[in-house]
Parts: sequence; C-alpha cells; structure tokens
Amino acid sequence: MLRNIVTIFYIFLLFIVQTTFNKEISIGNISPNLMIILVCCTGFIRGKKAGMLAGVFSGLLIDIFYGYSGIIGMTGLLYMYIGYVNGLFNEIFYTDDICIPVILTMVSDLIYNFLYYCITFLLRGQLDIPMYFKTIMFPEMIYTGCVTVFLFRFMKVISMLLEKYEKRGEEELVKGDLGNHN
Amino acid sequence: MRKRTKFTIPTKYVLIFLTFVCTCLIVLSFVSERIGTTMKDTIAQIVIPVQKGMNHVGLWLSDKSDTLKEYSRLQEENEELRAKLDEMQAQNSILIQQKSELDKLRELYQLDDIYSDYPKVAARVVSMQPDNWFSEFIIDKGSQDGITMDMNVLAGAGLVGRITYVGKNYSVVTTIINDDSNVSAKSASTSDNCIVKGDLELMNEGYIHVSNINRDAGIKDGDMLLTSYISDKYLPGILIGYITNITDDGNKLTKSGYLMPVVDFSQMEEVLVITQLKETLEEEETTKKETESGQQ
Repeated sequence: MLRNIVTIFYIFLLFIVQTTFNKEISIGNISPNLMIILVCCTGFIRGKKAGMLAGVFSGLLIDIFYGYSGIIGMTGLLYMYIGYVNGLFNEIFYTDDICIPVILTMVSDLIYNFLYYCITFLLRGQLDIPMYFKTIMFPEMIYTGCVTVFLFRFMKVISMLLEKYEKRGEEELVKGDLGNHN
Repeated sequence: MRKRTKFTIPTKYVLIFLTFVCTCLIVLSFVSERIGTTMKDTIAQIVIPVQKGMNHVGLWLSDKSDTLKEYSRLQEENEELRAKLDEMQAQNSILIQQKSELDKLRELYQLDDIYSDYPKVAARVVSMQPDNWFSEFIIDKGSQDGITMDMNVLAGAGLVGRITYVGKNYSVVTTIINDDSNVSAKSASTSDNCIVKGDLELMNEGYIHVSNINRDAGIKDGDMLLTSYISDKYLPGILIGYITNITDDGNKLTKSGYLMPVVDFSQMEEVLVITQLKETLEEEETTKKETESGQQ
C-alpha cells in the first residue's frame, strides 16, 4: 500500500518536472524522458505488475494533457507494455546492479520512440528515419540513460527504506500473532 | 504482501484487461472528442494548479539568479538603451506624422483598419510537451476565461500558433513549428502567397520551412511574412517572421525557403491570445457590408 502511494507520488512529481522544467533540463533541445525511466525502474525494482500499473497511469497522464491529436490511451498502452516487459527482468536479475536497469531503460526509450515515430510520423509520410534517429532518438536515449543512473539509485534507496519499514511491521504482526496464540 | 496472495488476479489477465481498456479509450477518443473532456478536466483540476505553482518557483529562482548575474550587464545596457531611446523618440515623431497621413489616405481608400488591433488576453505558459517530437504547450487560461478552439496565440509581435484544445482552466497551444502544422502566409511587400510548414528537422535550429512560392514571385531574402487572408484559422496580418535562403524547387514551378520566426520558441513565459476568431471576423464583415448596402 505504502509502495503504491510512493509510486503514485513519483508519477505525479516526475510528470510535473518533465512538463514544467522541460526547457531547463534539456541539453541542445533534447530533454530526457523521465517518465520512461520511472516506468522501467518501477518494473525492474518491483516486478511486472507494479511496472505495468505505473506504466498505464503515467502514460494516461501524458495522454490526457499531450496526447497526439487528442487521442487518449496510446502512450498508456506503450508505457504499460514497457513496464510489463521490464518487470519480467525483475525475476531474472538482481536488482542491486546499476548496469542492467540503465541498459533496459535505454533500450525501452529507443523502442518507445521508434514506435511513437511510426505512429505519429511514419503514417504521415515522413520517411527520413536516419535523420530522426540521429537528431531525436539517439540523443534522447543517451541523456535518458545518464539520468537513469541517478534516478535508479534514488528509487532503490527509497525502496530499501520501505522494505525495512515493511519488515518491521511484519515482525510486529508475527509477534502479535504469537502473543495471541500463547 | 504475502497475506494477500490469495486474492490477487494473475498479472496476465490484468494486462489483457488494461490493454482492452486502453484500446477502448483510443477508439472512443478518436471517434468523439467529447468523451475525454470530462476526464481531462477532472485531472486538470489537480495538475494545472501544481504546474502553475512549480512555474512560479522556477521563475522566482531564475529571476534571483539572473539579478545577481546580470546587474553589471544591465547597467551597460541601460546606457545603451537610453541612447537608443532618444533616437527612437526622434523616429517616433516622424512616424506619428506618417501615421496621420496614412489614416487620411486610408479614409480616402475606405479601408478599415480592424486588423491592426485585435482584442487580446494575456496568459502564462505553465507546461511544455514532455517528449521531443512535437511542440505544444499549455497555458493557464481555459474556457472559463473565454478561450475557445482555434484562437490565435502571439508572443511579443509574432505568431506562436493556435489553440487546439480547451479545458476548463487550461488550454493546449500547438505552435507553428510543430511538425504537422501549416500556415498560409504572404509576403508583406509583394503579397505573394506561400505555405509555412513546421518541420522537426529544422525546429531545433529555429527555422521553419516555406514552400509553394510562385516561381515568378518577387519575394526576396529578408522579406517579412504575414498570415494571409486565405487561411481559415489564422487572422490576417499577423507577423510570422522573415524569409531567408529562397531557392528554386526541382520542378521549376515553385520556390521554397526558410523562415526565421520572430518568436523565440525556446523561451516563452507569457503569451497573448487573440479572442477574435477568424470565422466571426468574416461574419462580422459580411453583416457590416449587408447593413451598409441596406442603408444605401
């Protein structure tokens, strides 16, 4: 429960930062995709279900305000699958390593941007894929990867604190149970 | 978490369910724009005030750092500007004389100068498009402030774009540098028509693409481009920018070039929304003409 509240808070905070400080955090007109970092890291730290839910909520939030020509649900759908797929890796790898989430986030960002390009640009006949790759996708991927290093550390620390808190709660519960039995 | 494992639905089914929900939302919002409006407005009630607040914090911070940094520079600039002001005042007096002359001539030609000043409302930019693909932003005025769809947006003297979505307390502005926006423009000096088309590739360099200029047009580098009378969304006579690099197209029938917009799209804090719509303007004109002809 507490973890869910924290995740909702993350989504809200990062969305606000992404939209209000977009120009301030951008380098050479390219800003990192903070929302995808959040979705990937949530999936990687907490598992597929949490990643999926974080993805669908943050995607819908983006859609509601900046959906492509007013369509709601497209970014939500993409983010949901990204969160789910990243969640699958939670079971394979240790979540202490910094390298894997960074690579996962970068790959996810690239895939997301490519799909987004296909939907919004390719279907309008803008075929210059190498140019878009060079000017948008690749720089964004690198920048997003760099930000992930810090954001993942931060989220991991918070997650560990929460774990400690939960364990303490559980221990007390167990003690209470034992007390009742005796 | 372990206690609840009995009640949880398998993730696979949740995924399928949410996919279904999202697909439904996509279809519904595609079919009818009204479906999403309630949802958007509800969320906006929470998000927009927070964005406004964050914006104030950001502005305050940058303001403070700027004051420290730029104090000495400002003094120099102040002197420079004073000198310029004197010059301008002299020029202004000449212009005032010319203005009165122009008014007289306009009276002679019976041209009404309704285009020179449209009613405007100032609005603050609260948030920007979160991805790097499009160029849209949100302003803090919505339908409760009398904003409606397709109103033109200015910053300083130049055209920024038009309003593409109106919520209760916010509205979305799509800029002219956005990849899918087109503006019909004309040259101020020669009245040649052309199309100003946003382009993602040029967006980062601060240029816009201009195309469909007639081959025989007398348009030159450095000419002013204004919104034309043909456009059905943009009011006529608004400055867009200056044209450069005009070259012949491969088909030898048209020319194209680049436009340097007067607005700095990377640094927008406040914009002006013209509360007059092109449609109503045209209606007013026709009714005016009708009444005039009726009087005669």
